[in-house]
Amino acid sequence: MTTRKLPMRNLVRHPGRTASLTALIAFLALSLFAGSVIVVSLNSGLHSLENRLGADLIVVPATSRGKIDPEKIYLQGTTGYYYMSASKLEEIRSMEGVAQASGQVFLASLRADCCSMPIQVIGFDPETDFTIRPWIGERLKTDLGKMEVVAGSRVSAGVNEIIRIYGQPCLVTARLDESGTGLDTAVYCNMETIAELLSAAREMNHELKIDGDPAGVVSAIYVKAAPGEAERLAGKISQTRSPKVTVIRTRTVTSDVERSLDGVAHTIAVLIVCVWLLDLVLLTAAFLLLGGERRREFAVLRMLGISRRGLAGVALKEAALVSFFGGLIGIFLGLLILLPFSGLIEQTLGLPFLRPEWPVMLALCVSSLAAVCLVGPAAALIPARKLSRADTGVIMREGT
Amino acid sequence: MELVACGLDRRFRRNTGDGNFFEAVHRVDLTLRGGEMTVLTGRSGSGKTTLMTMLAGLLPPSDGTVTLDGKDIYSLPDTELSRLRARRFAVIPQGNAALSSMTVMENILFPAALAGLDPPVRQAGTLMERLGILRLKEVWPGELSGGELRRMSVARALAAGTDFVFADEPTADLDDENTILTLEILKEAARTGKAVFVVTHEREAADYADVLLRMDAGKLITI
Repeated sequence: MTTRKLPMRNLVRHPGRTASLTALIAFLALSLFAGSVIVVSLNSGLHSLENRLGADLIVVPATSRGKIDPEKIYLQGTTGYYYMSASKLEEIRSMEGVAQASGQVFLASLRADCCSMPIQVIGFDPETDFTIRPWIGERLKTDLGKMEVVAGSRVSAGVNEIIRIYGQPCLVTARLDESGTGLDTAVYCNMETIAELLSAAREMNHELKIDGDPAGVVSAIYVKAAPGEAERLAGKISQTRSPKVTVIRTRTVTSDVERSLDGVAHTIAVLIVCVWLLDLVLLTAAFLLLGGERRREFAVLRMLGISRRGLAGVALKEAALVSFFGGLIGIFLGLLILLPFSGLIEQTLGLPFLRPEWPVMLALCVSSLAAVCLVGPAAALIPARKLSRADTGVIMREGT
Repeated sequence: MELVACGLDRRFRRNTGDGNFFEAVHRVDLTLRGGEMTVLTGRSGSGKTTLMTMLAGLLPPSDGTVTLDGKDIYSLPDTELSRLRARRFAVIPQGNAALSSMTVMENILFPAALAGLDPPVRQAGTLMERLGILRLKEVWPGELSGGELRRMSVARALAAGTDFVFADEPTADLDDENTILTLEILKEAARTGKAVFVVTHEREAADYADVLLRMDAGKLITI
């Protein structure tokens, strides 16, 4: 046995003491790591949302506002269905200041063979689309045919599998990367397929408010305005009638999200700081209490010839080892919570949530571990100094 | 080889009313020589342990010096004094002085590791056998009785091969047979050239003393 091996042996031989300290530090690491991952994921989610919304304006039937918040479809995957005549698309397309306009049709499936949760079916026109096509283009080898769909990352159906939507078999031709938004729980098809699915839904008594041919409706119109025209165009479209429409400015959606995200990130940051301060105080108190309990043990080491510096080294090395293992456990627990429950976290926060790529996750793991490995010994600094300065002769005189 | 204490004084802060100081040791002059067993007796609270801890380099005196090889040990920086303690001093303190994270054998070999010496496995084995604790070499200190712990402390102090051995009530928890055995082993250590300093209440210890001293109210009296 040497002084180099002594700290590890002290930890192993006192499992109760070691476990309490490790748990305290694991909690510290968990709060820091999980908090950081959540903040980074929310930022990534917002970034992904901004990249993928693509349009400046989204036009939906005014009646949809009361029934469902269309913003939630993009942010949280809330399913819904509302329709207006496709002639509105032509009307908007012909307006001055419109650079591009494309319609999309939504259909909420309450149950599909593939999924345990309702999925949103989104029909788009590949000819005019500029919001979905650029995003799924790299995954899609050929154009989508009739009754062919592209599945979002959280739809549990593989490529070349058949899923049934309202009893209609649809072939999955591709799967998309995770976006961290509600778009992940949707499947995408062309207008021909969505019209077929709308008819099937209507036949199955699904309450769809469609007058006439399902092929002649759209749920939302995505508009890209000419530079500097978005504001004016939004006002102009809002004033149109038959049907009356609501214009959603995507910039407003993202800045609303950004505001909520700032709030959440701020709250998380404050919580992390509070947890850290509390934990630091608790850790220092724990090390001080342990130091008091171990006064005689350390006095014996001094008596045997270990220097003050050597003694402080033993105490600090113990703290560093506990911090390292506690940090590893905390980060492992963080991964255990974050990996399977990121969907639930997204749902609870109501914000786009895109877990960082593995290199970023690794960097967060390493930095959280490094922070914890610094904080543990820092908390042990005062007790270690106190112990090493204690008068050995006086402690030894105290007997047992 | 001599350890010379000159004018040693040690005061402790205590609420006594008269100056708030309690003088545990008062102007003690003493020399410990290699090959001699010095036995110090006296009533409880007479300052015996305080004097021993000062001689062993563990408690700086309020006044006076402790000199080894012409150097005042308390003038040395902590790292040097610690090294000196590891290499030349061994202490058997009162009470339990075992390191709970080490087995009995590891406890006994640890001082040599601290001094940077090869582990004295053979000496340790011989001493443990004589003291009747060889069968306990892989046992943790928490499983030992008071008497076994005391014998472990004796073995640890003697196996280290230091020049000076300071023993504070080394026979406190021992039966008569082990008391005699421990005193004999300490006497043998003195015969091999070590300077052995024993603080005790044990009357039998006087029979083994080359120098017999008594302490009374912090003052040293040669008998």
